[in-house]
Amino acid sequence: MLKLILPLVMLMKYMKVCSVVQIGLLIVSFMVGLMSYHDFYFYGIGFSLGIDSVSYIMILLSVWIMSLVLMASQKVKYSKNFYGSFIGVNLLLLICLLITFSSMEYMLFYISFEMSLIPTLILILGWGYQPERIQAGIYMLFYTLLFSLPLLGSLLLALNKSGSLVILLSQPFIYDSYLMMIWYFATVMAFVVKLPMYMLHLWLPKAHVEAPVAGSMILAGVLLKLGGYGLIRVLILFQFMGKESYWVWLSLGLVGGSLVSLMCLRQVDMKALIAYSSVAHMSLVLCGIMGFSWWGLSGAVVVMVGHGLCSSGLFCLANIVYERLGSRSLLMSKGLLSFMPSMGLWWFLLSVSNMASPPSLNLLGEINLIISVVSWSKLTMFGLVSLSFLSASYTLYMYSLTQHGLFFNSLYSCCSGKVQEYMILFLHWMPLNVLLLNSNLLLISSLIKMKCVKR
Amino acid sequence: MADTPGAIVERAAIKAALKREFRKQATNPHRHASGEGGALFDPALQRFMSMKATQYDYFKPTPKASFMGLMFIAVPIIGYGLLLKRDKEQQEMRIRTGQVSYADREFKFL
Repeated sequence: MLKLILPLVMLMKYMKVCSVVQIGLLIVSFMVGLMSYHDFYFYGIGFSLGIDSVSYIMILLSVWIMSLVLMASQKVKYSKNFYGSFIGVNLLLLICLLITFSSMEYMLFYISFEMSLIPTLILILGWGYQPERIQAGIYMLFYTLLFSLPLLGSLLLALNKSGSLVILLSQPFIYDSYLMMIWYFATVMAFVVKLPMYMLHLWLPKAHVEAPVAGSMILAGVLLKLGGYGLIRVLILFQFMGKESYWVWLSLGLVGGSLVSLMCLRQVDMKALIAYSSVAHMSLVLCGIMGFSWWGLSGAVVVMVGHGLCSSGLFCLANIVYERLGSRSLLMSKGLLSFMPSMGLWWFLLSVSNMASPPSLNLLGEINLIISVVSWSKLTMFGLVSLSFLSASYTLYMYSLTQHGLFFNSLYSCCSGKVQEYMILFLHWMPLNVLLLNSNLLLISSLIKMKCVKR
Repeated sequence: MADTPGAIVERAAIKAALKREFRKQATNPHRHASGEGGALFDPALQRFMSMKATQYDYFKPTPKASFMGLMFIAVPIIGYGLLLKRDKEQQEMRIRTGQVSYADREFKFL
């Protein structure tokens, strides 16, 4: 782990030099990528930090997205808007995320989970564009903090009951009385609000819209996955309670996801549309994780990676449009295909991955999730039908509204598409559609581990 | 009264003046040459976007709004959840009391 954290801490010395940090982050992500063929079974990496398959995938995703974030935030550098502190805040966020994903203990995980909120808040408040960002920061902070205080209590109770909070040593708690359901909900709510689930999702459109492009990309790309990752870790303890209450999460996920997808179709703000689509994707992930099946778990991880890349890329595209047009309004950013034709390629590829069409990672993950959810009960097919159909419909709405037709007639001239932007979008798209060919790196299954051992 | 020839000509003159002003500002060569992008400021568009952005501030809980919230959000979620719960419990009871043979059981290896 030292090979990952030490370079990041040392990069903070070069906060003022943007190019060194960008190249350094790409090198760190390469080093993380080198670990991909390791036989993971809680590979201990020192400082009581450990990586297993899920952790490794999340660490790789977070380092990759962070390097793309720094590449996409060139405007902060050109407008000399405190870009040293900006890079420092981003690196601090990355360190918090690395510790979160590799902590082998629930308490360290909780502390770094909360710690990652603060750099995000600083990003939103410091480099956001609209005055509404104050409210957005408050919403994000208080939603997450309100539901994570019970999580602290329940972790302390777990420590009291079992003597240790090390994840490897955790045994499922025996479901003795109905009061333990309160314990279960207190624990799970913190992650479910981060994921986010339908009823508790109100912070997400605000925070995503008001954040600068870096904040939006890192929020959509990695911070939502903190909720999913936390659920995967914490549900080990609460297996019996989770079994009884799956129908709650399933219903909230499917019906809530469909309602949020309907909301997508009514948006006039590009970033709000992408933010609501994040909620819809994550609601399906929630259904997969809570179901305690191998297919659900692997589908959830694959969708988390695919959605991280896809949504982050779409926010990058929305920012590209915003830098030129000065507005995120869908009424103004229409007909972009005639305005920036080459960008239409990336709009198309990322939109098409957003609605889980082949050959994207989202498709693989959604297939797994649909199989796992339908295996629980056939009635879930109604919810899945509406979720999939509406997800295709709002993506098509967004693509055709932004790309097709005449462009807004009072636009002033601006540059078409910089090669750097194409590179960022290519680096978003490439893992999404090409990693599918080697998706055994992402699919989690004990069968695959057995295969490696036999060889 | 509004259809008198005088009124029609007057309205057409106002409209032509506005169009001329729009074309003059939208084709400003200095603004186009600077390459800063953006669009001509339209107060109506700005009002519309501000309205959409502050929609929640003007929300009033009326009986109709509460009814819509119940019917379209609470009832589907709770109803669908109870339906799923009941279906799963029936399925489990059928399997656990042996009414389904092992060959007929679905999704065994998931």
